[in-house]
Amino acid sequence: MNECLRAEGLVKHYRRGGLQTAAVDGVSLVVGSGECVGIVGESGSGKSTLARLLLGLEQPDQGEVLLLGQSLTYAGKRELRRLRQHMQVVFQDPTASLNERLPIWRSVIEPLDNFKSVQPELWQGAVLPRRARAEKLLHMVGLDSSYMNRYPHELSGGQRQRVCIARAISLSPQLLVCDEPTSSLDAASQSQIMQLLSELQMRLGLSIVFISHDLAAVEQLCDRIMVMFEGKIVDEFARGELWGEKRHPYTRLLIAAAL
Amino acid sequence: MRRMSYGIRQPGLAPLVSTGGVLLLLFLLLAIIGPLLAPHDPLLIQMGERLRPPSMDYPLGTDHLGRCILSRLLGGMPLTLGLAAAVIVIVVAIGIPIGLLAGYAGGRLDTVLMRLADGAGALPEFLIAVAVAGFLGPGLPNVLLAIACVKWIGYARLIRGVIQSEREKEYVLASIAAGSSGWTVIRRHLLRHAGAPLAIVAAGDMGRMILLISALSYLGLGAQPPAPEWGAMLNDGRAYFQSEPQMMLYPGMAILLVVLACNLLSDGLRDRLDVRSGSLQGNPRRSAEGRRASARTADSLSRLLSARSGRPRRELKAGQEASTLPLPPEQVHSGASGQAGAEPDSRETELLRVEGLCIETQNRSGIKVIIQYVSFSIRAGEMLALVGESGSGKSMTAAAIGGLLPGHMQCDGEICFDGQRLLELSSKERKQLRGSKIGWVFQDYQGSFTPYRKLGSQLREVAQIHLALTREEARQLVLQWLARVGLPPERVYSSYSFQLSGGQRQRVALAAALLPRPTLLIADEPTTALDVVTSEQMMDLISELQREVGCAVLFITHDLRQVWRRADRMAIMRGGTIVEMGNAETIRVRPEHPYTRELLAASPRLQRPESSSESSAASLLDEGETAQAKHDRQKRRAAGE
Repeated sequence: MNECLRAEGLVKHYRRGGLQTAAVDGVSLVVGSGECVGIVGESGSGKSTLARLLLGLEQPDQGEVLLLGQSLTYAGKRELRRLRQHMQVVFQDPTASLNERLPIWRSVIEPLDNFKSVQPELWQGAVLPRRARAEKLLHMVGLDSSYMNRYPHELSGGQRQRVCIARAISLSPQLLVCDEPTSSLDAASQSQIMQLLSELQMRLGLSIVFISHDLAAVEQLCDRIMVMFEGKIVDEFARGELWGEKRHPYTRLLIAAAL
Repeated sequence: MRRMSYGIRQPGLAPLVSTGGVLLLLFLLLAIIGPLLAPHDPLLIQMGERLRPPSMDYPLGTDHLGRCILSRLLGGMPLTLGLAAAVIVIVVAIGIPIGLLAGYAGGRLDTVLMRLADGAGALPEFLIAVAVAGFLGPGLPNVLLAIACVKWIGYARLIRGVIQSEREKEYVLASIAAGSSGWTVIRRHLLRHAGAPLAIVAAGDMGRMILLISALSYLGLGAQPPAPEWGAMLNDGRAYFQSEPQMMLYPGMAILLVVLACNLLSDGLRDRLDVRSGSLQGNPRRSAEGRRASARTADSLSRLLSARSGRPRRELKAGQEASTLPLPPEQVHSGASGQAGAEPDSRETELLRVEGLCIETQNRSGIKVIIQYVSFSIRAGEMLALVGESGSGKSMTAAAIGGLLPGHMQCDGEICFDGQRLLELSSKERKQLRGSKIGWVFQDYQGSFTPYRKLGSQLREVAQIHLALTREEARQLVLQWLARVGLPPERVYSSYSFQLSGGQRQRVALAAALLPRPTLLIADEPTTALDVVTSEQMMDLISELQREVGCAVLFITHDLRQVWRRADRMAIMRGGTIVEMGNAETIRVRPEHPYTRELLAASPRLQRPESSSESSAASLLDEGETAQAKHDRQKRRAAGE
């Protein structure tokens, strides 16, 4: 399996009330192409900081992130921007992740506006006008054309998250980082979004880093699961080994909570 | 002040923008072509025509030097409006880039700008204008330039504020992650947010500038005679106010109208530019489309429901938005042993009985029904789970029980608590009940406590009010309860709410709710904002204390997983009605209603492979399928490359 994302010894400190705390403390991970890796942990375990480091939105204090073999950490501004087309993000709060003043279709094609020269394989060579592209992307996530001109506040949470996903897949990225994409949704929308993600993963051959506090959700989608606690990865296993003997006590706690 | 009267938006507010805008446009147009329309030369002095009353020749009469008042009003327009507009343009042009820079880059520039702004905020612009006029000599251009030099800071600060509040939001991060450069983010996202407040403030400032210019000219510091400036005209008329009031009346009215137009525009813009304000949006087609879409779904839903209930649906009043339809109580599916609560013979043990509860709200588009014929009961000491997705009316039902519905909502039906009909009680009696007999835990633990007071004193107050204890007794009780919910009592007692984590705060909220020993605890999504592990602990605590205190619990959630091991009975809500109610275990094993089945299928649960042969076979199948799919995917990828 080709390597898609590699992180080596990531460390990120935060200053909180004069005290330095390590939000991420020596995390290394590898995501193969087409693989789906889950990162589980409770709030405050450093999951979201890790997501921002992997996305190159923040610089690690130590360590390095490599996307498709190229360093995000040491890339120049322009180079970093170019690399971003291979990696997209879906955040937890679909309300905050859409600009409330942009109509839906404009939000969806934002990445395509940034990379005008990129012809994602999604289109199979067809050159489409902007609106048509947005329409097609919305169809892919199960929203019909009537949503094009609406504004985020006119949509439900689940629909908004679909829009965010449409935006994230618009460039046919290699990697999708999902930071608690279902946590702010109710149960029914949660399962729909999970289904959508796994469908898209198969269809587009995406690698996914799926971050959540809910082991049950992670287990649905991911081939490999890493458990994070106080900034460190304390346990790592393939999906099938979830019930194995060697699980870390903290993993067992998470399992008990998700039963 | 104005804002408050806008509590419920009325359709009549929409014309504010157009009225203000049209008036202002008219004035601007007059400012351009007005001087051409003037019947006389505004500066022409004709001592023979002094103080003439209005006539065909002089429609508004003449002033003390025989000049045509109408001509002077028209001639003064470009001066007043032009100068005011020029100041606004200069100020905005300087303020935007500096505000952008300070807001986006931050750092030292930001600090300097903020100190400058603080200084400028302490100086009234009128004072500055007078001082500059005294220093440089009277004359409008000097004075206005001086004002512009101070005023841009306000605009820079405005832009900076908007940018700072927006730049941390996830959509900006998403945009950066999508490869946008800093400039693109500003142009595409941040400026869009700054535009609205900018337009609002600028429109208001335009009016203020006109007033300022007139005031300065009136004092003789602005436009100099014989320039036909409105403020200067007021000054001219002052001496003749008794005999010739029209000399002051007309320029005064002109100023009033222009400033009014600016303020109307500013107020109107404030309402209009709020994207979330529904039908007041710029594009009526879109909202009409949205309305049609929602009407369609409501319609299909209603057809579905009336088909199932086999009776014609209740006619809705004209203008009523039919989002849900009445489902008669007898249509509610009940699980095998679900009738327990509804049986008449169990009424003695019933703590709370809700019967035929309907809630309506009145808004712009008419009456909207939120809750329809909801009936259920809770027996003393039992836990009833009210499950449904967001918007299904769970929280509204709870709010109705506690008498916490917003004022514009109408409540109908019967709520019987401990033998009292709650809907007939006065608000004071209900308040008394709410604190002592009914305890509450809300989803939003941020809002449960005021951040300004220590938690201990807030809890002590609860104990003192409801249990009539002395200060020291109350303190002891609070400490006891804090220990009971598993917190270090002394430390939490002297902490502020923001010093605790979400889970800890929720525990404190639980202690506050249970401390007066209520007979009913309403837990409205108490764990939704917490992570899985913390919420599990929270739920364990609730059931444990429920047993200890012996109170009944109405547990509201959208997460079925939390219901199974704890609730005795459950009710599934959808679209304002209860679709299924019964024993929790029975519903888990044999859900009757299709929606319940849907919910069950949707809730993610871990299943131990060996727990049942069926599930392990299913998970094996699942694994096989994904392996196959992965194989296919790799093949496709290889073929693509």
